[in-house]
Amino acid sequence: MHQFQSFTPSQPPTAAEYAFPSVLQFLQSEWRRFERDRNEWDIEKSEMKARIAFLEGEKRGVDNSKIDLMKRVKMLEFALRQERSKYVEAKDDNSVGVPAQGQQPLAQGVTPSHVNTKIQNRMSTYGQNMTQVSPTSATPGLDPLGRAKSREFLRICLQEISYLTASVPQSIASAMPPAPTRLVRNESDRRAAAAAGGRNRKSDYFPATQTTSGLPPPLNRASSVPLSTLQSFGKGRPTANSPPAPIIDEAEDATLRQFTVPQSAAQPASNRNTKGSEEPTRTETIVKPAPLVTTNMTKPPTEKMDSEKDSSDDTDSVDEEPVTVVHSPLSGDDWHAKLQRAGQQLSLQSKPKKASKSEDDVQLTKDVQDKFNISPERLNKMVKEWDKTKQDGVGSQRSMRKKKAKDSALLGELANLTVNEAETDMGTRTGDSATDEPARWRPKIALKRHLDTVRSIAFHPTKKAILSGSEDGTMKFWNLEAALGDSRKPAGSELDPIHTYRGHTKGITAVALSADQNKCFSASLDRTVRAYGLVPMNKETYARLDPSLNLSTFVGHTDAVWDIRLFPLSISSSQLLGSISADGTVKIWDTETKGSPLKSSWSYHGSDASSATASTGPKQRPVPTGLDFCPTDLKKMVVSYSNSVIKLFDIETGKDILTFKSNETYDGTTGTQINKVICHPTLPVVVSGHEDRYIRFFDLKSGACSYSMLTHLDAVSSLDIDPAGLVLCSGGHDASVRLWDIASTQRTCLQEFTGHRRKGSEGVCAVQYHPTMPELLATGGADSIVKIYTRC
Amino acid sequence: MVTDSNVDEKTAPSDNKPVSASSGTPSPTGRPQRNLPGTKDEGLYQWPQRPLESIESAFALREYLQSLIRQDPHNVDLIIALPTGQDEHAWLYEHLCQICLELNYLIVHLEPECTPEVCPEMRAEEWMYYCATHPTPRECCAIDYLTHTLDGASALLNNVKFFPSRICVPEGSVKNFQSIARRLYRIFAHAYFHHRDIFDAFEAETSLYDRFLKLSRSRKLITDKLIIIPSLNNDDDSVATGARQIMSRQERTSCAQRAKLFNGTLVNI
Repeated sequence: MHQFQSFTPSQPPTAAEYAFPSVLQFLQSEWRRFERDRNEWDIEKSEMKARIAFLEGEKRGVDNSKIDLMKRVKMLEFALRQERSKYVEAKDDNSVGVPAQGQQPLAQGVTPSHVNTKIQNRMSTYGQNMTQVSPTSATPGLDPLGRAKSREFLRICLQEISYLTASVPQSIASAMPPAPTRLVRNESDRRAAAAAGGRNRKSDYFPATQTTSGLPPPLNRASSVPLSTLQSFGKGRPTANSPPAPIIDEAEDATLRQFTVPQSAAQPASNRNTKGSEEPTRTETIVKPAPLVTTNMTKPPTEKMDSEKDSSDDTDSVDEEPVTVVHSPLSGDDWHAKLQRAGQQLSLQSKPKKASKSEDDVQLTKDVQDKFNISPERLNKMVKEWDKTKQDGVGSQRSMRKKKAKDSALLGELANLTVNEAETDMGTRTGDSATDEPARWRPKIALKRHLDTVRSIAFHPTKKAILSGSEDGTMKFWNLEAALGDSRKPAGSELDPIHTYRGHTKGITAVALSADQNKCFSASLDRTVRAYGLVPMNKETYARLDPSLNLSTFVGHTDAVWDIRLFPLSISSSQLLGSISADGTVKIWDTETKGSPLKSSWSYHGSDASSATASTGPKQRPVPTGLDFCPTDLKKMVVSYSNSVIKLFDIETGKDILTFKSNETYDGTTGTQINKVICHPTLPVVVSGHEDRYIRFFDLKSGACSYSMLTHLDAVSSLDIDPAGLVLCSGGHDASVRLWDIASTQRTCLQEFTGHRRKGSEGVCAVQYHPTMPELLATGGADSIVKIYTRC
Repeated sequence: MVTDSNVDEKTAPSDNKPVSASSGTPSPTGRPQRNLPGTKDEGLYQWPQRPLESIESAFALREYLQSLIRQDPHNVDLIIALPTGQDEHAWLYEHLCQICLELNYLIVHLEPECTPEVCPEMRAEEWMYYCATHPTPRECCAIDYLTHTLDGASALLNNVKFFPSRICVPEGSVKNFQSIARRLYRIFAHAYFHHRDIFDAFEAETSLYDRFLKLSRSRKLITDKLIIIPSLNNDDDSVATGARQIMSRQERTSCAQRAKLFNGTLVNI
């Protein structure tokens, strides 16, 4: 596109004669184009860099968690071996726990379905051992001693594990169950589950949940395991030093159960040994799909913790399905799309790595696939989900380190993290869509509550809300959240403002909104500027009037105030507001001070009084018609005057720095004055809208006019540049709104639509892009209506 | 700069309407009918009044009405007189819109004085009013009642369901005028009986009540028995004495009402 455009202007010179101005102009335009291109490339480059950094970070995170998990596997294996020997001893020496022993032969049977009952029994055995055997010390001294030792060891283990697995507590919590569960299942069951999994999207992501329907009691017990483990993470430290409280018992028991699952399976039959030793590893693999189960719960974190506590306290409880079933992925489709992208790369990376790492891993993968009838695609999906675990895990680890937080707090933070991620994701997406240019703006909402011309509008910087000021003397604040959210609502639906600000005794000319201060401002023909408190977004239209909303009135102008502008930044609890008035002055107010808000004031010649008096009298003094602060040079502001001159002033001193060459068509009447002046958000460019239908572009540094174009059928009344700085929106008294591609040299009109009906000689009076939501545009017009446009 | 405009004409793409050289302003006098940014007080709305027939915009009636008011707000009879050949209801509609607009300014004046502490109830003489803007009418304090009523009236007048066009008013919506007028009247009544200074000052400046009353009476928007403000004369003496009488009567009635507040206050919704 750019390439093409770059060649078109190069043709005229060959055909036409070389005139110095045209050559100069050509060179200038070329230079500008190059500058712009370079700027764009820079932006693109930084975007790419950010993307690379992001991907690298992702990779590193996955590697780290993999190492962590390997460590954990090693440790579990070790603990398993230890425990196994302990258990063998205990079984030999200990004659207590008769029911358990009675069932042990059964448990040692080859049929896997018995394994869980065995575990269950063993758990009860341990419980008895701890509470009964040790205190009575009826058994030989070696046994309690050994048990105490192993207990101590396990406690240390638990601490270690809790630290290491802090990165994936969620995943372990919900993903552990599958391993034991699968074990109990016989072949046909498994197939059925896998088949069902293929059909069911949910179970596709969460193989374990499928099994929860018609659960046998052992499964319930098994699924309670990880939860108590999770609980122990939060309380890991204190429990290590305190005497074994019931909860610790739970936690340890749970862990023990985990340890013993594979072992007991392996012990009786040596041919199961290989499989058994793999169990922990396998669980790691299955960990992957898990995060969504827990992290995306819609339940509040505290509630979830409660349910977990309940389930872990009451091991016999059958109501544990909810814990595994409570998953309602709130993530949007875009999130999935992103995950998929990341996941594809990830799986590509991780697969060869696994292969190179060890043959065991390959076998493991295969084993897992065989065992659970998981197709490679599904495995990939798991890996993708795992990507998310890692991100959540990082968050939780951070919070663990920061403070040994209560579980709920930890989960709360996690929840926040996920939300943030979703938000940033949305942000990047909207950013992307902003670059898709051809999207047309369509009217979405019409706000019809004003009784006269809408002169000024201002979006809330971050929310879907807008402020409108009208000739009828009122300023209204509208919450667009609901109306924009509901796509089914027709465009003509009625919306009431959530608040009507009254205070001026004449029409309002300009409004401004400061989210930092939670204030809004209005300027009026009655010579004042008023500050109000912003009402909360959930205010009802007909709520009680809050007198504290009236904050202050800036009195000082001696004639109609025609425009106000907030300084782009609020610096150290001071927010500047610039105002211009028909009395010829520009005034800067500090909206935060308690004392005199007026900071400075100057007239046409700036603060330099001598030259002001020396020249024309006050009668003929040009009157300011528009102002804007320069986002690219925060010390300066531009002011346009009724004699079609734009001046650059220093905000601090009020000194007249530069006079723009903007009055080429000025004929001595207001018919050629400037109505509006704005600064480009990122480039040192000033744009002016003229009464004689021109829009002109100026270089902020030199003050030279770089481009001039006839734009509307009638006077240009309003201008705004979209937040990306690529499109200029202009509103005219010919009732039309036009969008101009200011990124190209030719500044073509991208879209034109009739904005408002004319009243008198007025049409569109205000246009405004949403500062942070590129999909929103608003216009206000003489027909008393504010229109909100969207594009998609 | 000619080259510039030429370039623009040339490069104006197909999706851009060609910019014609003629000015779009239809004003015959050459002076556009708008206040340019930077216009001084004395220069505001300083365009010649045009006869209604020559106004072509969709808001012709409103423009005409506003120009009449700007010309002389106290010439009430001329302002409310129906222009020949115009729809009566449309004219009434514009008037009510304009009255709502101007009542905004009355509320601005009232706001510092009419606080919830001073006027915890919406009263006028012996009447007490419930605010009808809520799902169930509520006992709002006076300033809330005033703002709610005005916001509600503006919302109703701007509601496309009831008033889809400015040229004619659907038959079914005409009855809304009466309810709007009845409620707007209470704003005047409250100001008159409780904030007389403000009312008088505002009336002297705008003659808004006079206009409203004459309009309502001539169009039968308000029945005479609902009119509680004694007729205003331009004779200062009679106004003053009238006011004195009112004040004393008001005090009497308010005392009486305090006594029988719960067993039969005159309540109106």
